[in-house]
Amino acid sequence: MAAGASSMPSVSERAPPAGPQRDRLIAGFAALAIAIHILEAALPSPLPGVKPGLANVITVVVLLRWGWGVAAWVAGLRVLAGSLLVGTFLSPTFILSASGAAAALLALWLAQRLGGRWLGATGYSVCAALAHMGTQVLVAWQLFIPHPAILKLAPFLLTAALVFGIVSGVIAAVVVDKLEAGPEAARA
Amino acid sequence: MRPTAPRAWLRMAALCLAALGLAGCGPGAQESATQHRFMAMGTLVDVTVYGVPAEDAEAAAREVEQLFHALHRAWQPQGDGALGRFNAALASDPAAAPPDPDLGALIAEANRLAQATGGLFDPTLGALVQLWGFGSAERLPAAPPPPEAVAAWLQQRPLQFDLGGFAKGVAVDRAIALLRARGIEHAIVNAGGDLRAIGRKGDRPWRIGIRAPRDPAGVLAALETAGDEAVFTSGDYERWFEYDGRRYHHILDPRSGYPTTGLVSVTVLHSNAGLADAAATALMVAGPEAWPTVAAALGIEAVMVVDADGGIQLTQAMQPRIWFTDEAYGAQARVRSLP
Amino acid sequence: MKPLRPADLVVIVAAALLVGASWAALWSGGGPAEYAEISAPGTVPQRLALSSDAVVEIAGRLGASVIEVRAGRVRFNESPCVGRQCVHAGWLSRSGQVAACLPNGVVVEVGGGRREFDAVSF
Repeated sequence: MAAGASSMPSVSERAPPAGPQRDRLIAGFAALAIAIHILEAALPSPLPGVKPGLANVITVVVLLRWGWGVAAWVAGLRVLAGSLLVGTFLSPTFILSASGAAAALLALWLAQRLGGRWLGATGYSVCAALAHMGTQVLVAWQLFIPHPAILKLAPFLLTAALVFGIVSGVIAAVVVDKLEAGPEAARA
Repeated sequence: MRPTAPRAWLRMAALCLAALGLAGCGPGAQESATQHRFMAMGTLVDVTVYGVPAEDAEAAAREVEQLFHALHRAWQPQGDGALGRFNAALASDPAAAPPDPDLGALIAEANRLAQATGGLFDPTLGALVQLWGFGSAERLPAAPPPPEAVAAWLQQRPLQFDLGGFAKGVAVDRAIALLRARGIEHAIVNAGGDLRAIGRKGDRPWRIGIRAPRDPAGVLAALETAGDEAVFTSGDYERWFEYDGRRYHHILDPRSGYPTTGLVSVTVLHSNAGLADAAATALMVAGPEAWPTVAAALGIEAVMVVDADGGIQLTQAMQPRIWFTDEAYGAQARVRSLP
Repeated sequence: MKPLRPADLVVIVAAALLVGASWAALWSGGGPAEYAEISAPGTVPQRLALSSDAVVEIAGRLGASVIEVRAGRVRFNESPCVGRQCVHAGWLSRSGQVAACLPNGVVVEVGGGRREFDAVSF
């Protein structure tokens, strides 16, 4: 079923504007991602260091607009700069957010390969969110707290990740729409 | 060139199925352990075996059952088994010798443990146990013995052996040895709540629960064990009766002639089940303050005790092993260091 | 971009199933109590479903133990032993729980689902 394909150009067909405007936008998103990362660091979590991955909104927006390579760059920058700014560089929190981000990127790459034609922002976002949370729980369980109680928490966290994924997917879709409407609208 | 829609949907479906499949092979190990249950030594014995075909496990478990029956007959304080005859001989001649070498070795080891615990573990309480009426597995006493009788016992101290706080541990050790001789490397022998576990359950360790002293259906704490370890618990809830509003249980204090007070349960971990059995008994007698000294004297490192108010104490070696089912237990648990 | 495309829905449903599976896999320990297995000396163990209320008499060495199933739980109602520890054990409701009348030789064990513990020390 190729519904939607006619009204929505796929990722590869749309040529984003090149040049300094593009770079500024990307830098802007990276900054936003870092800001979200820092905000998230202030949120309490049932498992210390495990975060819902709200910054994945940015990753998905960048993915849809400029491709996986740029998304990976932005995510990597977010994790690195974010942790340096919050002061958790190389700490367990850093390992958790790095592995979460890496897993999310891998999931996005797979999703793009397998269903890039048909997936929208929400589908990507859910894949990224579940991969992010699932990996964080696994890493926390294996490396930091090998306690059976962690596994009891996992379903709660995965459910939350699913919900966050759907919500951030919708947000990402709205943002991408505004971006495509034109740079002036994006600033609004 | 657009991939045909059906083929790509197929790939998506495959991905979903793979994901679900992975979710299925979660942390839960397949339940391929076999369990055999029988009554022996006045209690329920469970033999759990993993990693061996069912018929072999069943055959080995039956051998363990026979072993338990044989040891029970031999080590019963009364009757015509080895210990029964020895006790009868001692009644007329306190210098009598044990009739067979196996019993002799057992008695010698029991005496050694008695010395090490300063008499808190005492294998010679046979007459006192009879006096209280805890000797029978079928019946429980209705009332405590008259105080004069207990005083008389304290004074005379007739030499009669009762290996109740030790024999079960030795039996469990021998049962494990028997299973190993049959090529079984992963098993649990649980004799009425006193158990020894060897190996593991497939890709995960054995999970052992520790019962809450006042709640027969509740579990206070859990631990995991892999390799070779005995978990022995002594409690004031195993055999007891109530009289005139007071509870009298079967673990007797050799110093007073009456049931111990202060602790409601003791859990000991050690690779030697006989030692763990004697230690659990001795620590119940030692009480909530003095137990660390006795544990150290026996070379026991991992202990958890529950006192009459529900307070939990444990050793440092025990703390990382134990996972309390209720956070509140863990929060109030007190760590005692061993001298 | 439409916020929700058909493929997105597929992903969401698949994700929901996965999350559901994680609940089932990780939270069913010691859970669903389905039946009570009653063993007595000299007989084959019999199973009673906990879903239907019942009162049964089981003959043991000393006499008959009365076992009751009600509202998904099982217990010893009466037993000819002196200590009556079996009756004092109360209602059993979770897989793996056991109550036994040793003098009478009657054992009641709750089964079903996956066991939380391989053995219990007491």
